[in-house]
Amino acid sequence: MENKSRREFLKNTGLGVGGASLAGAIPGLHISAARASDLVDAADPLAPKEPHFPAKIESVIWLHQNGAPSTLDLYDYKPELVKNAGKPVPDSFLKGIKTSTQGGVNELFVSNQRSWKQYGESGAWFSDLLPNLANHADKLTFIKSSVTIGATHDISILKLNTGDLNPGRPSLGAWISYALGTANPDLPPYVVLYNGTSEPRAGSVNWHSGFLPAVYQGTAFRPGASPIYYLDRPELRSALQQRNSLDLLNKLNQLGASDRPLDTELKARLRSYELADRMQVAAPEAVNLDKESDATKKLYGIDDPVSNTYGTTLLRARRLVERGVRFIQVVSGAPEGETDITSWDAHDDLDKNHGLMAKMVDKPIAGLLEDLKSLGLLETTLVVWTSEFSRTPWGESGTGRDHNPWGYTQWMAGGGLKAGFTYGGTDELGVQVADKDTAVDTYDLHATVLHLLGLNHLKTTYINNGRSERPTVVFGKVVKDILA
Amino acid sequence: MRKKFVVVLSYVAFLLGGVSVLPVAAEEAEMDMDLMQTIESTNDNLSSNIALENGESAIADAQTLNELFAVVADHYEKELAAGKDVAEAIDLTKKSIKFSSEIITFVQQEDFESAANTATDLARTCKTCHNFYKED
Repeated sequence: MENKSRREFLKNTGLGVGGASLAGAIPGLHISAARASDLVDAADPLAPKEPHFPAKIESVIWLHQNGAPSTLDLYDYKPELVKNAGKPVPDSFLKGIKTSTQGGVNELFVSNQRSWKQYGESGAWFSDLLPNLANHADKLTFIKSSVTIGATHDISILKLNTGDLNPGRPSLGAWISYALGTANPDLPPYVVLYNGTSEPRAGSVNWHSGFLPAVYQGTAFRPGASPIYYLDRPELRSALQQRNSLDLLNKLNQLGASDRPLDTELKARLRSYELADRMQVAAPEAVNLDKESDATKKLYGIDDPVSNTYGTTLLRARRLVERGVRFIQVVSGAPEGETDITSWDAHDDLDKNHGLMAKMVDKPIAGLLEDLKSLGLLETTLVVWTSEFSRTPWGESGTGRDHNPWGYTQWMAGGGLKAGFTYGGTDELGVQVADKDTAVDTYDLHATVLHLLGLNHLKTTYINNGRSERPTVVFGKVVKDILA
Repeated sequence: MRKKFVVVLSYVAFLLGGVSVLPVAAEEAEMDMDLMQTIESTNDNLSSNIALENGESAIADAQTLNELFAVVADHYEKELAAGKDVAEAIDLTKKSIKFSSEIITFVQQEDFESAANTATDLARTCKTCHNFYKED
């Protein structure tokens, strides 16, 4: 290669990379269609950004029910299933689905402990497992035609959170952080909460930023008084000592920065020190429930040992919403001290499993909805009940249910939605979605959440390896029928 | 020509989600994963080029897909004539031909938003076909 052409190549490549990375740092910025309002300070990637159109909501509480609850035992009442319990599944119900799940297709199963009632003006069905949540029927927007891909938890959890079956794509919360920045400079815009003693199944890949800059990944807040690893000041160091050290560090850094005014990475690093310093105060305060009244704690079921930890987590979520956190991903764990049942994954003894897990979440979620409503926050918050898939109408191990990605219920509540409304449905036995045209896949759910936040999923783009990527891969449609 | 035919058959396989379309010509045995992945990426490129408003490339991608869908349609017409239950596949393929043609028109008019929406419809139609013909 001649020198001249090599120089041209390097120049062009440099410009290309520069252009791509600039475009990549700005949501909605197309190389040939940049808008002045999209230009942000690259040294402050979390600076607040305007949505594409007026948002209906400001925050999302994403309630991942880990382990896949049987929505046939919670929301999706099927008289035909009750009538045909113990009989084989007719072939016509299995058409078009791959049923090689681990338990095979057994006889239809119904628990003899289950009872059903309709609630509210909407007449939504709830089982006896969710008596408190049922009282909020008219706040909910059901999607009873949810579908996904996969039959193993880890893979489908990844799809639930990132829209894809393979690791490497950003989670929904990361896209939202990237597109909107932070509403509170003292806290991360994307927080992950969980109850239980260990991190959620499949781990941080589910709140990762993928190919987006790492600053947009979720920050996991641990249960307990100290929510973030290594954030606490060491006991042997006084607050004054730390302040003096940080001030000195800041002075030295500013000296270095003044010699390098164009070094945006250095600026970003300096901001991260300052954010960590501010978070040292803001994060523990945000999750400290000392100032919450006993009545509020009771509302969330914190007075009950089964719902205590999940209720604590949801009350923390409400406090984070109040403080402007945009996306709070709550992964359900297990009641304190429970070692036998650690998720909704009821391959056997569904009654025991769901009896405990439903009791863990029922009062806290009902309390969250009531609390948000009374504080005037439900209009600007979106609460999403979601799971990696659900469970089959046929039994497994005699008393359990296998995995079902072909048709199940999720719901949302909050701003911009038709409350007390049901979209879609499953067939008469609850095997799969009745009308394929109404199927709502994970990326449709993502597109709808983004829409409520004022973001067009088609224009929320990032250049990765020269390709324009978006949160909904190449799929995704807003479920317009559920919008108010 | 032979290479092009293999590519075309690979695309058929992509549309079918990897399901065998036997019995057809012996060349189908030559379908391999590399080719299928190449064809799948054409669909991804289309979405990316529309988002980047790369009109020329987007039209080229849509045109390629349009021609390949025509081959798929031809394949299924023959299957139908042979008495196979492929009505759904024919319907979905016709939809895909329509969508890819519409994308070309939208991009020519520089209406990239409509093109992006239609490209999403196209990708979902591929997925529907994939689901419908999933092996049990």
